[in-house]
Amino acid sequence: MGCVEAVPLAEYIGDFAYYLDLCFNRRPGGVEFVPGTHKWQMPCNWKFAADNFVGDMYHAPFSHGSALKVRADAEGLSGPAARLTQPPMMQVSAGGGHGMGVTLLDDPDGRQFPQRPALQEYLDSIRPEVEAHLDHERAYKLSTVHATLFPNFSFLGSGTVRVWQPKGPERMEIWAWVYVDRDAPENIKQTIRRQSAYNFNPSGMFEQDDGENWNQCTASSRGYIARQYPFNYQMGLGHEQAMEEYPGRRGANFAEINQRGFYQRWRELMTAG
Amino acid sequence: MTMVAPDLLREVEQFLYHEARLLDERRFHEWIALFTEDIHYFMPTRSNRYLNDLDNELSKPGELAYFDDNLTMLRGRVARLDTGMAWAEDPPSRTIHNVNNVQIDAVEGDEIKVHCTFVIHRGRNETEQDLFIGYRDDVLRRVNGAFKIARRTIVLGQNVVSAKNLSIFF
Repeated sequence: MGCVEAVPLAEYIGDFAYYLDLCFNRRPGGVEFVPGTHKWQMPCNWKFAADNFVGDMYHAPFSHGSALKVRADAEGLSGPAARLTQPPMMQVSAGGGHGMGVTLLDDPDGRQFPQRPALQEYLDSIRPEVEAHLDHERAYKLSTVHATLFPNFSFLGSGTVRVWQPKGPERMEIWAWVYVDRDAPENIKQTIRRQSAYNFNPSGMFEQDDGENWNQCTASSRGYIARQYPFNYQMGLGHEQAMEEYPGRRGANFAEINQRGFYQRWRELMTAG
Repeated sequence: MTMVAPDLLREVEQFLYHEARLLDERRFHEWIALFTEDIHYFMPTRSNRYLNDLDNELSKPGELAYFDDNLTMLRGRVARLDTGMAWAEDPPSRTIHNVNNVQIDAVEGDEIKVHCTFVIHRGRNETEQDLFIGYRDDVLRRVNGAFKIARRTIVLGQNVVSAKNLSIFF
């Protein structure tokens, strides 16, 4: 029988546990889910969505140009100033196909939610507790932006969690939730719930345009010519670095290091046995 | 069943038809002007429940919803469509909003509670089609003689939304 032995969950998660904790285990109380589930289906291959969340930060300024412009206009920003609201980041390929985009807070410009002062104040207020619970680095130096735990569990640091459920090669069903720190004050929980859902769900200011991409990428991959060529995932190839201070390998923010890790793992499993 | 003056029902129906036509003709700036400053525009999530648990079928305010907007958030959606980068709506959806079964549930001072059902057809690109069917509970408020929408709850008949996005208005 050609099958892959299942490994214990902790082993399966491996080095990525460090980053799972960064997102879901910052405070001793952990996280809880807001009641309610977003469920929808779309005509696309589920891997486009997993790929998007594992390492595709470079789509954001273009795919989400509309939502970013509305946000910048609301803050009275324009031109380069609007673009500067994106703090410095890196991509981390943690092995096992898992990957995360991480904000570098120790950079002078590294702030998580400059546009939402109450949320920023909350995040700053819990740092000493996070340091005691995890460590100094995850309290003061890193924060979660986007991630996929291989193969189909994805989340953002801003509140959305989802499972991409394949319904055949060209259809998937998404189940999505919003998580909040269990010990956060009620007003912070409500801010995270409302903002996360405003941006990420089938009506979301950001997510509407993702669905369009994934749908059209799937459709255009079917053509005779498209099927003759491999996808190009070279971005940042040759510039990956091992890190001494954190688990995993590091790539630039705009790089496909995590997608390469994801699809290499996929290939291993598809060709195993 | 609340009996109301036929003229009032007619006025409410014509207001809702006018609103539907503004959406179908993509006159979103005129549409957004129909809402009060304190609008709550709400589309709850559903979940599949047994009969003895139907009270928990719809998410409540404060829980997860497909739309949970105040006026600033709703204006943000309209502003998004003006950026020239709202890819999910370019080429735009072609919508037909059918508003049916309009009933006035209550008249309370300046406010009228209105229930209706809707059938919305969306065509897009070459062959994409979506059908959104459900009901709405609105609160209309008379402001300077004209109706405005002060509260809207939209409930879809679907448990799992069978559309790649909800990039249109309801």
